[in-house]
Amino acid sequence: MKRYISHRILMFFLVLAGVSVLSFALIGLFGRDPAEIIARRTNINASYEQIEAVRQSMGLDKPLPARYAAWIAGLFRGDVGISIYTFKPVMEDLAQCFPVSAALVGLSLAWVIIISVPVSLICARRPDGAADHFVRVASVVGMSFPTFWLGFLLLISFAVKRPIFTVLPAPGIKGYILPSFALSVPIFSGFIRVFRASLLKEMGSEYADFARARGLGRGRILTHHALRNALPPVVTMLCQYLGYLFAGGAVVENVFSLNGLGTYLVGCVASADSTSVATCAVIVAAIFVLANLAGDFVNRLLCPWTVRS
Amino acid sequence: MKELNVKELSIRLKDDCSLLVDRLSFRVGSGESLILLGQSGCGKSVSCRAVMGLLSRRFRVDGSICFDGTELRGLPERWRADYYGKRIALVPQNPMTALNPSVKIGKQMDETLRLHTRLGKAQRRERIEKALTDAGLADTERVCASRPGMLSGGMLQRVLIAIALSTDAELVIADEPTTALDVVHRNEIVDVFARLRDGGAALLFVTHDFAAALRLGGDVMVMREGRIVERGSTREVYASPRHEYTRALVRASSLSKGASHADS
Repeated sequence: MKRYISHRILMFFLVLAGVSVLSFALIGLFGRDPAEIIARRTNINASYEQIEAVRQSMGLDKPLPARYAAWIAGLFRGDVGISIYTFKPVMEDLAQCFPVSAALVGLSLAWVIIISVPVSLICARRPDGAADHFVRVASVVGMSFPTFWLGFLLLISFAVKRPIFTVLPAPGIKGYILPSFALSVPIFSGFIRVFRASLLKEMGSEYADFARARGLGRGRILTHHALRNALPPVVTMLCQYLGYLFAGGAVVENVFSLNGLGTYLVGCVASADSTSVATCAVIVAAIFVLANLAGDFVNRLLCPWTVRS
Repeated sequence: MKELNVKELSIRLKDDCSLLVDRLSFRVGSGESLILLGQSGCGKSVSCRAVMGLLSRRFRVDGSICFDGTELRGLPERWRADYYGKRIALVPQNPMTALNPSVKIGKQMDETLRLHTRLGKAQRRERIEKALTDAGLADTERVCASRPGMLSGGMLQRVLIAIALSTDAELVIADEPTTALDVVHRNEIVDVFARLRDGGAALLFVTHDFAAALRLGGDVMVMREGRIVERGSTREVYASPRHEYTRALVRASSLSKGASHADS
């Protein structure tokens, strides 16, 4: 176990190092010239000298490895400098947009669990029944929905035609209900399919047959035996989605006018803001790796024997 | 007298209509044992699963499976618990996979008793410990606190027998319970089943091992490709087999006996 934990911690730092180098280098080498973007913000016809002056003042004339080293040192101090995209300290920007994304992702995951667990249990209770057939078709439709289109549909339905919610985000949790639902639809649709399959696999196992032979009903076998053993693949999937949701929520954030991490990241990429992009990428990567690690531990707690075997 | 009466039981696969069991008929009553003998794939286990109502919709089952005057085929779900686990117990073939790997053995035994009896917690605990002891397990506390992966195949086989013993089932169906065991353990397990039968339970014992059948005694039906080819008292069938297939089984059994004697 000790070896496993030390291996996972080592992997955690290796992944973060790799992600930081790649994201910093790719934006630095192949992105647009940030000095030119900044100079042209104040003067659309900025001269070569003006652009060079901006480059020198922001330290962008230094070689990429030196900028990377300075950024890493700043990351440990908690100060990675000014964002070219917003002209504000990157950490200040992140302190504003991270809670928005965290609330959005947290509520999306809550939707995923609230909807997919009971629906999967209903499907597995009577496989090939009417409810199961309906859910199987509906889940394919749900997986195929583009989130931005679903977001617009929700806005038109529940903010314009029936003004239960507002078009601009309302303060508090109410402002996150529609965007988090739009973000979660393709995820819980996929989830239901995986969880249903996992539950049916367990229900087809010999221990489930023997439980039937002992007189237990399908419902009890499902909830008291199969459910726990069917969780590991679903927990793994949930944890993998966590990182994706943080960075991939940009489209939904845009539709619902939320200033989250996804929107900020897209803006930084467009502005060739390598410092901010790399910082965001490291945060998302850290969330992704930590979530996977947590998923692994949860699975070991849930099914120590099945996971080990 | 409580008895299992199977008449003209036929089982086929719906996919290709292949016939797995062809018009199988037998009866076994209280205090009697009936041995279903045959090679792997001859239809023994699928017949047991049909009696237990465990066959999926992939199978088509015809004929009658009657226990104590009740037709078990098509038994409504709400009545299953009145028969299965309570009056009819199964001892499955593979002890390593028959129990939920995540749930402690004591808990799995307790849930069976809680479902079928009105006993209090302490009485259930007592009944579980007695059943485990009767099945030949000494350290009952450790067994109850263990998960299936922590016990050996032989111990798990005894746990499955203990589950059958704990509910005082009137009919016990043992599906090749000695397959994974060595000769010493096999004999011990067969003796547990003999005691169960002598205690008044009806016993349907499935095996491909003539030695186990001889030790248990009672009647035997020899099955081949889904059909009964010979039936009679175990000793008579062993002493003077009439069918070619039974003779082959007896020869194989004698050879393995000779080999085990030579080894010892």
